Amino acid sequence: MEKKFGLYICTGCGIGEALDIEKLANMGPQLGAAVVKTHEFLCGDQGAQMIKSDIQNEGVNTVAIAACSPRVNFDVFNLPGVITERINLREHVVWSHTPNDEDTQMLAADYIRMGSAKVKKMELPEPHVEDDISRTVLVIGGGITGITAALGVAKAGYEAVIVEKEPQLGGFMNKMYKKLPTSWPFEKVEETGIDAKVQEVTSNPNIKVYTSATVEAIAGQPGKFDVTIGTNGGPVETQIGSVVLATGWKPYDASKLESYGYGQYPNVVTNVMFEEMAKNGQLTRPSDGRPAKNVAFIQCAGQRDENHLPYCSSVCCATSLKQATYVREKDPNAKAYIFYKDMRTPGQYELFYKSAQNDTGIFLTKGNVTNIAEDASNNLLLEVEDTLLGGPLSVSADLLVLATGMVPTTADEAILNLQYRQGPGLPDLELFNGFADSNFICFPYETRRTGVYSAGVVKMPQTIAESVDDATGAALKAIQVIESVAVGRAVHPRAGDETYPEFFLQRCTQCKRCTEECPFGTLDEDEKGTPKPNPNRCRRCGICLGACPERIISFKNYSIDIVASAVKSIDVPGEEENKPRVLAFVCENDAYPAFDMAGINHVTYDPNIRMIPVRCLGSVNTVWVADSLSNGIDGILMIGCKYGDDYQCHFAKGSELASYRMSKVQETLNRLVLESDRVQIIQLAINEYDQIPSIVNGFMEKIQEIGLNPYKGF
Amino acid sequence: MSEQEFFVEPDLNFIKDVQRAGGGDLKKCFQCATCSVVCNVTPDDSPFPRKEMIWAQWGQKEKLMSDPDVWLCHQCNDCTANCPRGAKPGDVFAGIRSASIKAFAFPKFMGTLLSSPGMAIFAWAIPIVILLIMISLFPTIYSILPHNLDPHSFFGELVNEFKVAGWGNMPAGPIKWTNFYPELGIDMTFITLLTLGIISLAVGLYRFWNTMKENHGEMGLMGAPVPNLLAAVPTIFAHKKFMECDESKNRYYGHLGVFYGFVGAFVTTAFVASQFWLLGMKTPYGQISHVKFLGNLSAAAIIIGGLVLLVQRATYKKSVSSYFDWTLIVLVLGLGVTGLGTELVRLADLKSIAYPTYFIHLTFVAYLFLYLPFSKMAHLAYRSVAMTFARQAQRDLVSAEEIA
Repeated sequence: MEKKFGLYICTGCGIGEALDIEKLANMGPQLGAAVVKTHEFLCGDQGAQMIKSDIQNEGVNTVAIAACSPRVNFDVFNLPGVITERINLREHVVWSHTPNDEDTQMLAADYIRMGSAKVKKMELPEPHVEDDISRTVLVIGGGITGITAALGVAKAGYEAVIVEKEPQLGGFMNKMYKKLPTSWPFEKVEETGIDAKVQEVTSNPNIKVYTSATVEAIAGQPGKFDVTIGTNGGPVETQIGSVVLATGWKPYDASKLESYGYGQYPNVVTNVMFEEMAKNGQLTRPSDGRPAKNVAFIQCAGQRDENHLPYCSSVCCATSLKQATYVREKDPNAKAYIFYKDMRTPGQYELFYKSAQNDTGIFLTKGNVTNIAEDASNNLLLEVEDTLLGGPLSVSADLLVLATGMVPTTADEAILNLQYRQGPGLPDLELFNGFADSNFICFPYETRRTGVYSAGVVKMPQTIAESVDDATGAALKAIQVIESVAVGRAVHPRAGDETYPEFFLQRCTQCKRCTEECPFGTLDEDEKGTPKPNPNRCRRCGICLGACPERIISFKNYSIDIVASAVKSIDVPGEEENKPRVLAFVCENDAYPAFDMAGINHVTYDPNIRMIPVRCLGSVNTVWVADSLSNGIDGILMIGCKYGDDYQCHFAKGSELASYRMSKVQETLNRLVLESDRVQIIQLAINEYDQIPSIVNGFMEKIQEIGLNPYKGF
Repeated sequence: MSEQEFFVEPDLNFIKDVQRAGGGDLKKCFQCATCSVVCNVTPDDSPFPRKEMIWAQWGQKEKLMSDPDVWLCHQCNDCTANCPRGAKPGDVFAGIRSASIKAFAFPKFMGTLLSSPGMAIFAWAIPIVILLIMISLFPTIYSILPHNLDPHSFFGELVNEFKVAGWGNMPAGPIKWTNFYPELGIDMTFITLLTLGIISLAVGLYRFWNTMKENHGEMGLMGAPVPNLLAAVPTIFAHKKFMECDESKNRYYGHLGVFYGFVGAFVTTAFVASQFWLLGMKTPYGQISHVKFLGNLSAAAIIIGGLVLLVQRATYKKSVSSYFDWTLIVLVLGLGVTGLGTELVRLADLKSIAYPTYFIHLTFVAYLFLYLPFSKMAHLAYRSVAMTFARQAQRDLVSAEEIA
C-alpha cells in the first residue's frame, strides 16, 4: 500500500498558546507528510471533518494526530481503514511543562518526529479469523454456579454443555437443608429451591448435561477447543467455544483438626455434617442418637490459621448462624452457642446476623476455645478464653460443630486438563491459596487461560447468592470471547484489538523463551521447540516480542522496528549543549494514564524526558535499550505496573518479567562500557501521578551525576 | 470483673423474664460499649452496663442477681438514647431489677404474682379481701374484747369503736374514720401487713447481700454494713445520682417529689402514731397544725412527683415502660390522690363517697405494705443495700470530689 501521510496539529486546549505551531508544522514535509494542517478545535465536528475529507478526497491513508492523549476522543479519531497514530501534545507536553520554552518546544518536536517515524512503519491490522467457530460454552461443574451459568448461556441463545462429576446435578445444595436469606428483610432462612433449578436445566434443549463425567482434555484455543469428556459410557469428543470453570469447593479435611477433638470425640462434627443431619431431619448426637439440645459452634476451625487454611471462607459465620436457627427451630428450649474470632457477615447478612442474635436461645461471644474435653456420657466440655463475658468460661454441649472452611477444587486437581505447553491447570494458583482467582484488579472472572472464566467458590469463597451473580458474569464473558474470536479481535484487556503476533519462523532458534514466558500459555511447541501460535489464546500484550532475542515477533502496528524507528528519530542534542535526554518506556495501562493525570493536574516535571508507550513493560525488547544508548540517549526509565503478590500488571507477569530482564540489560550496558544506573525500572500505580515529578527529576539528577552518554554524537 | 473461669448455663427463663419486664431488646447488643462510655453514673473500673448486657444475653441469672451495678444504675437512659443497636440498656437494667426482685422473693409465688400482668386482678383482690374480711370480723373482735372498761376511757373508746364499725354506718352520722375502721383495727391490720412485708423483704435482702458477697466481693469488704449505709444516705437523699443523668432530667424532680412525699408521709404517720399511743392524742388534727401541714405537703409532693413521672414515662419514647413501672406509678398516684381525697371528702362532708374513698385508700396502703418486697417499691431497699455493698466492696466508693 502506497502511504499518503497526513499530519494534523491541534492548537486548542492551550497547545497553540504554549508552542510555536508554525515551526512544528514546518517539520511536516521533512518528516514525509504529504498533508500538514493545523486546527484550533480538531476534535470538533469541523476538525474531524477536515481529516475525513482529506482521507476521502486527497487519498490520505496514514494519519498522525498531534493533539490530546489517545485515552480521550478515541471515538472522534477512530478512522477505519486508516493507519492512525496519536501524538500527545496536550497532557504530556503543554499541560506539564513551561509554555513557550525552548525545552518544551523541543519536546513537542521530538514527539512529532517519533509519531511520524512510527506511523511510517505501521501497517493496517488484518484480523486472524478461524473457520468454524464453536458457539457452545462448556460449563465444568453442575452446582448452583454451573447451573446458573449454563442457564444464562442458554437464555442468551447459545448452547451449553455441563460436565458434573457426581451422578446428579445440584452440587453442594443437594446436601443443604435451608439456605441463607436472599431477599429483604434477610431474616429467615429459605428453602434451597435446587430441585427446580435442576429441572430447569434438564428441560432446556440448549443445555446438554453429562453427569458422572469429567473433563479429560481441552486442546485448541477459544472458539475451537477440542474437549474430551470422560463419561461412564466412554470418552465423548466435542467442539467448544469457551469454558466456565465452576467446580466449587471441598470442605477442609477435618481429620487434620484433632486439636478440636474431631475424630477423638464422637460428638464433634463439621458444619457440612451438621447440615446433612438437618437435611435428614434429625439433629442427634452420633454417640447415642439422642437429640442435640445444646449445640456449640466454633468458628474459623482450621481457618485464618497458618497451620491450616490461612484465609477466611467468608460464609461460615452466616452458615453457623443459620445452623443455630436449625437448633432452635426444632426445640424452643434448645441452646446454640457460637464462639468466634470475628463475626463476619458481609453485606446484607448483617441483617441475618441481627435476626439470629435476637433469638433468646442463641448465644454469641468472641473467644478462643482453649480446651475441649468429654465427660462419661459423651458431653463435651469447652473451655473458652478471652470472651466478651469478662473472663474465661466453660460450657457443656451435646454436640460440637466445627465451622470448617472451603478448599477450592483447583487446589490439588488440574480439572481443566488443558493440552497446553505450559501445563494442564491454571498457573499462579498459589497466589490465591489454590482459588482460580486472578488479581487482575478490575478483571473478575479472568483466568490466565484465555476463554476460560472462573465463577463461584472455585474463584473465591462466597455464598449461593454471590455465586449466582458470579455465574451470570462468567457466562457473559464466555459469550463475549466467542464473539470476539469470531471476528479476530482480542479480549480483555486489549478488547477489540485486531492485531496479533506474527512469527518469522525461518529465523527462530527454538530458544523457547516466548513459549515459556507467555503469561497466557498462547504458544505450544512442536517437537523441535518451534513455537506454534494459537492466536485466539493471545491477549496481544507483546511479552513474546519483548522476550525474543531474534526479534522475529511483530504486530502490524507494534514491532521492534516501529519502536526502534521512534527511538532513532529523537533529535539528541550534542554534548556541548548539555541537554540530557531520558527515554521512558511507559506501560500504556497504568503508567501512561498516570502521566495523563499529571498533565491534567498541571504537575510539572523535567522536559528532557521522551516517552514511548508500550503495550506492556514485558514487551520492551532489550534491543530498544541498546538502540537508545547508541543513539546518545543518556538514561532509560522503564515505568510499569506493580508486580509481586499484589500485582497490578494487566498481563499478570509483564512488569515482573521486565524486571527480571534487567539483568540482561545490565549485561548489555557492561558490554557497552556504560553505567548500569542509566537504566532504571519503576513501578507506578495508576493513581500515583503525584510521584511523577520526583521520579523523573530524581532520575535526571542521577544522570547528571553519572554524566552524559559518552556515545553521544557517534 | 472476675478472671475466674465460670461454668455457663444460660437460664432461658430468666432471659424471658428480663425481656418481659422491659428488656425486650437485650439480645440486640453487640458489645460496642457505647453505653458504658456515655454513662455518668457508672464507676470507671469495669463499668456497667456493657458487661451486664452480655450476661443478660447469656442468661447469667446468678451473675446479674448478685451484681450491685444493676442497682447502681438509675435508669437515666443516656445509654439507651445512644445505643447504636437499639438494645435499650436502661430498660434491660430495669428488667433485670424486676426479674431480680421476683427471683429474690420470699415466698416465691409472691414474686410471680407481682410480676405477671395476667395476675394483676388477684394482686389487687388480695388486699381488698383482707380488708373486707377484717371489716366483717369487727363484731367478732368486739365480742372477744373485754367490755368492763370505762366507755370514756382511752381504751374503752378504742374497744367501743368495734361495736359500731363497718359499712353499716354509711352514710349516717358525722364522717368519722374510726366509725368505719377502728383505730385498733387499723393498727392490727397494717402493722401485721407491714411486718409480713418487712420480714419478706429482710429475707430477700439477706439473700441479695450474700450472693453479692459470694460473687462480687473479691476485693474484700471494708468495714461494717451500717456505717456504709449511713455514708450512702446523703447520696440517696440528695438524689445525687439522678442529677448526673443527661437524658430524662425530669425524672429527677419527679422522683425527688415522690421520695420526699413518702418520707414526709412516713414522718407524719410516725408522729401521729406516737402522739396517739404516748399522749392519747386522737385524729383528726386541726387544719393549722404543723403535722397536718406536713401531711398535706407530703400528699401534694407525692401527687405532683407521681404526675411528673407519669408524663415522663408516657412521653419518653426512646425507652419502654413495663407493667412493673406502671404499677408503681398507679400505686404512688393512687396513694396520694386517695389519701388527699380522704381528707377532702371529710372536710366537704361528702357522706355518700366518704367511706368508699377511705376504703380505696386503705387498699392502696395495704398493697404498698404487703407487697413492699415484691413490687417495684422494693427498689428502695435493694438499691440502698446495693449502694451500701458497693461502698463496702470499694466499688462505688470514691469519686475525685469525695477524696478532695
